[in-house]
Amino acid sequence: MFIIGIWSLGFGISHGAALDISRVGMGARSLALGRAQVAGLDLASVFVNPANAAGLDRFAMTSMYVNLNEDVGYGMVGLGFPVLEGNLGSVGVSFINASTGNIYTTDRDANGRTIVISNFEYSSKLGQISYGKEISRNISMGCALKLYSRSFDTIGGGQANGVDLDVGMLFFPRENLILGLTAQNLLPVEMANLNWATGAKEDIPINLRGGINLSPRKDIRILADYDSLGNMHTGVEWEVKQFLDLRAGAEIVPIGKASQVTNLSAGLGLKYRGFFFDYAYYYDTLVSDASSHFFSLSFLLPYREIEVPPIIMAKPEVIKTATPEVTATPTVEVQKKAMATKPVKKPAVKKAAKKPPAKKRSVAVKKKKLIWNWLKRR
Amino acid sequence: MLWLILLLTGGAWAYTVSNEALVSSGGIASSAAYSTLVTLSDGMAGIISATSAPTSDTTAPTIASILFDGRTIINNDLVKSNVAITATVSDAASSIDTSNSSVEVNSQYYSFASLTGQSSFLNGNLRYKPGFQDGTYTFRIHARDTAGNYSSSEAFTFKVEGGEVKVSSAVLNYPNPFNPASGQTTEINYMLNNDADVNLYIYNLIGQCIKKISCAAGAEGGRAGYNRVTWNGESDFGFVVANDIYIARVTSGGKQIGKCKIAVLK
Repeated sequence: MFIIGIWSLGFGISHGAALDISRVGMGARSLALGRAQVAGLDLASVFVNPANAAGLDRFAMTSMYVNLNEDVGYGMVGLGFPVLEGNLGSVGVSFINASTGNIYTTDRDANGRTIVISNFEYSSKLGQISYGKEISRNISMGCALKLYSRSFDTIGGGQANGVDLDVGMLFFPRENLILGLTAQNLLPVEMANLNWATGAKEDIPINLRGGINLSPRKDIRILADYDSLGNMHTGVEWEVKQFLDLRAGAEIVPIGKASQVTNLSAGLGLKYRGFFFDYAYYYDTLVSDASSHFFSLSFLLPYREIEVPPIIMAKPEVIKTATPEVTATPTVEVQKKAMATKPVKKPAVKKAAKKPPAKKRSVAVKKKKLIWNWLKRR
Repeated sequence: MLWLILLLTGGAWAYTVSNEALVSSGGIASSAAYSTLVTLSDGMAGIISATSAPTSDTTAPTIASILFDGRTIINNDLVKSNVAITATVSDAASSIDTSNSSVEVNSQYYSFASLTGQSSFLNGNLRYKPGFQDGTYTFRIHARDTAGNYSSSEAFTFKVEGGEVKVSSAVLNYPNPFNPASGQTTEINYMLNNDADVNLYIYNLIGQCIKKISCAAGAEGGRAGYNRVTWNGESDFGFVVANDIYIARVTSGGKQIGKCKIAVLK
């Protein structure tokens, strides 16, 4: 309810403003779940709601690629790691590039028909640094700095740069329930957003997103998001086997002031040791040819096994002394020296102490209560 | 309005003659002009408005325009199979000799007389609607007046492609990029092979539809041949869209039949 309350504060739909390309969704898992991700608890979700970074207790890497609608190459790579074993929170870094080519500059011929003059490419990039930390046993918070860049290739004035800021939180009211809230692109247009070489300034609209992640059973997870741009996302994930997840999702997307469309998605996740492969098919019900296949490859560093000192120490060494051995009659001086010399120790004969086998303990086994479901699961 | 309907039963001809048709200028023997609709059993049809023959002259007949379903086409355009071709032919002084004037389609000649049932006329619109099969056609008109003056139109080709609705050649927009903030619009152009209900969906870079433009079959955007659909850069949310690339998807029957990338730069 608190989420709905905040939406009513007036974060209106601003579809005329510039686009945050991360709205494509981060990771094929999210796409299969209808883009529900605010409380996603995986590395890719860090770049939607930075509070997701708080539970990151080891190095992780993720990536996604999609030939979006068969027109736009969209690639994402992200990594995350704890700072001082998570005592200072965790950091995520991501980079997104969406690019498309064969955009034609055109003219009219003598018959008034449109003809191609040349072509150019376009790219939209987003770099993001996210930080998240637990602030209490059941609350995590995070923030992210976003750097935008756009380029119309050879078109004069068609370059832009900008900066923006996200904040987010996760709330764990129960063991099987997570609530998430993130406010994206908070900075006002005066402070940055997108500054075009033409002189135009564009605002990237604030998008307030709230989401839940509910596990009614150990092997089932239900996610749902709603945002202030009017998009509703929901999905369900079923861990069929330890190595296999199946997913399905739907999202309701407004396509005008009074109309909306429901798009469907499905996918799967395969796990093997620290490697994860995720696939999603997103079906566009308006134009089926605009449907897309999403692929993700992720890596999660296995828990680092280290040898720690044994808890029960070995018995002290037993040292036997021996009389000095004089092999010849020494001179007086030598004799004096020899007298002054302490008895020569024989090499110490150690009795092999019965050491208990070295215990392997994971450095990641900490008091963290808010560890990612994703990590637990994987 | 008074209509006189004549039915000629000789052969497969039927035609109507109207007394509301054109009155030609320039000293004509008869002030009456007639519009005639001729329908052949194989689907050919013609309309002609005619006046009686004047005295002899030295000026060749004028072929003012040749329109396909009321529009000008250029070489290699697509037309639908049952396109109606209307040619405006006139002569300044003499009348058109319909027996020696013809429509030429792939080197086949159809005399004006056979199409109209008229022996001569001074000026008029010749309507030709034969029902083409799929293929490429070369078309021209030859006109001769009763004084022996002769003229021909430029030969040009057109194509007929039946079957499922499709877009021939690339979908392009002009200008590209365009700046809607300054009131500029862009025109999305594509060639259809048949009349069809067409929807244009404009998607943003992340794959979300932000604008829908519907075009009815036979209207601009949904008719066979070259289409011009204008977009002013506004989304269906009522805002001028941001600088970015947008993908216009041309669809018919729920299927995408063409697309182009529109650049908005303000």
